[in-house]
Amino acid sequence: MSAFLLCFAAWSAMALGMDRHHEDATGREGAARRLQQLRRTGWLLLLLSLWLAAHPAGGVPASLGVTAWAVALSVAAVAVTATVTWQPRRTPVLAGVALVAGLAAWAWGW
Amino acid sequence: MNTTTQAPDAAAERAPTERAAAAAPGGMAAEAPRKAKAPKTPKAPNDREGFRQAMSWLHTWAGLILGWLLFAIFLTGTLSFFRSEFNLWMRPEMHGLQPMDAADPQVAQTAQKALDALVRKVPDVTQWIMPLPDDRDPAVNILWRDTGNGRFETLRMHPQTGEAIDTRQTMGGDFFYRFHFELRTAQKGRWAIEGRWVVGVATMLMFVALISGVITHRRIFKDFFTFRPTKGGQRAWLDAHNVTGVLVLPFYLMITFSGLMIFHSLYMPAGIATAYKGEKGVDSNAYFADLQGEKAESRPRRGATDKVEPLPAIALHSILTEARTRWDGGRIGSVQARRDAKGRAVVEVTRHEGDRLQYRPPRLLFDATTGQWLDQADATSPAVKTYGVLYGLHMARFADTGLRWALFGFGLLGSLMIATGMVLWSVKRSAKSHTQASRKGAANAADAATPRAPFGERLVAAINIATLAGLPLACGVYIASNRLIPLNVEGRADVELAWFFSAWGLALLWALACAVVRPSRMGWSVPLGAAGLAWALLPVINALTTHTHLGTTLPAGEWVWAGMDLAFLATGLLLGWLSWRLRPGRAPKGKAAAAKAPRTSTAAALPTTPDVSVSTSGA
Amino acid sequence: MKTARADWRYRLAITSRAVAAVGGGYALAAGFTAALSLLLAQCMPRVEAVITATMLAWVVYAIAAGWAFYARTAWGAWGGTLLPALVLGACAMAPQWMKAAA
Repeated sequence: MSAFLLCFAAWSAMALGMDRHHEDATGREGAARRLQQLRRTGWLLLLLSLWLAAHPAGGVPASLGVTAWAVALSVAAVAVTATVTWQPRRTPVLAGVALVAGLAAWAWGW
Repeated sequence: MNTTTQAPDAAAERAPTERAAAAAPGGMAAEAPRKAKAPKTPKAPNDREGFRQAMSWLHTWAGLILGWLLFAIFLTGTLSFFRSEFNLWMRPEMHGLQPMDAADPQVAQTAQKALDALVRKVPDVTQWIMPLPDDRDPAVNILWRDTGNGRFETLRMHPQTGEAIDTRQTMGGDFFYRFHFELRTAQKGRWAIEGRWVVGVATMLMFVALISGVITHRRIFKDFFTFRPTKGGQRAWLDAHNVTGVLVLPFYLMITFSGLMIFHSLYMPAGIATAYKGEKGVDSNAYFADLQGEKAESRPRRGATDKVEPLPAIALHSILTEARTRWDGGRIGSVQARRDAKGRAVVEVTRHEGDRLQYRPPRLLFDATTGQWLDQADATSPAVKTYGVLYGLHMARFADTGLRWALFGFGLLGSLMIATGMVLWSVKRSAKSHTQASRKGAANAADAATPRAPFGERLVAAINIATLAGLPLACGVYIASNRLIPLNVEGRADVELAWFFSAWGLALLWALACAVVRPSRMGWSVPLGAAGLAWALLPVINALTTHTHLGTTLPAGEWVWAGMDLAFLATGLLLGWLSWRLRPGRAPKGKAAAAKAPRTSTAAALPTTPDVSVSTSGA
Repeated sequence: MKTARADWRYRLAITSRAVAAVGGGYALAAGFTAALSLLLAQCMPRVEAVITATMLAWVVYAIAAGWAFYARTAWGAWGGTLLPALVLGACAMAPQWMKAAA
């Protein structure tokens, strides 16, 4: 669960770092610098989510954790695509919520 | 757009102009596949462009040749993720059995009771395989035979009493599973190898289509999240194809490549034939033994006339207890007994497949008569482990409920990717011939109004309908048949399959009729509507014919049963919605186009980003 | 506008490439598997060699198919698949031939 939430936040950041989706979400064009920052944040969040997934709670082997992360990666990508297509303006908020919830979920072993 | 009006078989001298024209409009170059004969053209100034075009051409044709079959393979494979659940649901006589925890020590007693019952029934049994009950399958299913090389029979038993459970004759979820990898059409099918070959060819084509698709997709990063259903026409279909294709790409590559590797000994035996060549020919027994991490003589291959002595009495309890100790409390998946190449009776205890990614799970070998531990079989070398992990990822036995539903979703998206690809080709082709026809027959107003598409196109459109809408219909009918066919019919399992194939055949007849009479949206709407009806009615049919319906299973919290009914209902509603959207009389739009007209106009009014190339024929 | 004359030539070329991709590509992949299996078996257990070679073979097959459609001419498609296939096949059969000759 934490993998999904963190990946959702990560993909959202990447999407918001693209011209088209940034405009749809915020209603105005993003500065090139800002977009790049968002994309970089996205990548970092992805790496963070992978690292966290490789250290799962309980007796779960790391291989299973990474596999679950790979699955969550795609599920989150689909979710973000749906969000930027049908609820573009809510994307930034949802991303923030997902980030916080994801970190909390990992801390609590989900 | 100039490119789409060129005939596919342009002569070489035309190529340079096409090439220049194709290169100009940027994004469209990769999207118009069958144009400039990439083969005979002189190298374009931008060679990367030529490579992309060649890959685009390859992608289209690799995808088209067996696209319909691929859709069938992918969809039945997706359903196979819930094979256990289908097996259970389609045998309502098994309701009431409590799912067991495979880690429960009780399992040992259960196994002994079942074995005793088997031996009472078949005293001369020579080999048996007993998967033990777990959270997904509450019964004990024993596969047994009393010959050297014959087919296995199945005996289903109550885990607590050891009594045989008489279930209705059906293939259950195993039909989807076996159709998926060997195109099985009968319960005791005889064309398994041929079927696997065909599936192999389709898999290789999909592999090529995936790779060439990635190469040819120019804006794979920019368009990563782009889905514009409101644009309608080719653009919406292409977006859908791209999105379903790219977002889940790791899964598709894994599933395809692992599929090729699972049957590698059939598809690509050259390595085995070379490295395992001995004095007496190729020692394939040794290869398979090495692959499983076991000794060759532990699993002999017998001929049809080989006589095997029946098994002796076996005390399972101590063997299973020792196995659990050796595995530190790991779960037992199955037990089996047979005679090895030296004629010694051995018991093999296999660990539960869900305990790790790598397939096969480790196995412990015991002497059947003394109960003494002999050996552990497990593949540990790196390459073989990789192969095992690939295999295990494909089978998804490791997946818990959440992961399983996610993988199921990926499978659906993959089926959607194939479907949108097929439809996109059809839409593009018909757009091209419309423009051609309207150019030619511009003088003749009546002709231009209803251009008659060429036969090939209509045939493709018909087969599209027959497969993409017909297969979901056939699956729903198959499941319904399980409840509707009387229990004592001879060859009942094959009768269920007959319903499946008849429904599919009817869809084909309908589609061909539409193609001949008049290509219209009704072609899609009717089979999809029928499919929606079939699936949505399943819970109702279930309630009318059994006691395992939602009325009893929901209050009892039996989610394996109730979940199926609810999923069927949801599927029916989804298919019905699709049918509704595609009914004739609505303005033709892409499948996922916005329903409300006002919203469409505002969507059109939104400032579109400048780098989007509009599709040729619009709506 | 179809020029009937060039039509059959074009279709022949495409068919030729397709056969080169499917058949020639398979021959290349199989030859590759056989040769690499033998080579790797010198320094790892046989089963490891075979599995490694077989896994790589699919990638080789895909590349061969790509080549068959990217090559400048249909002849080039065949050349790029059959020739390496024959060479690799010969490499794989060489130990046998040498043993027979000895």
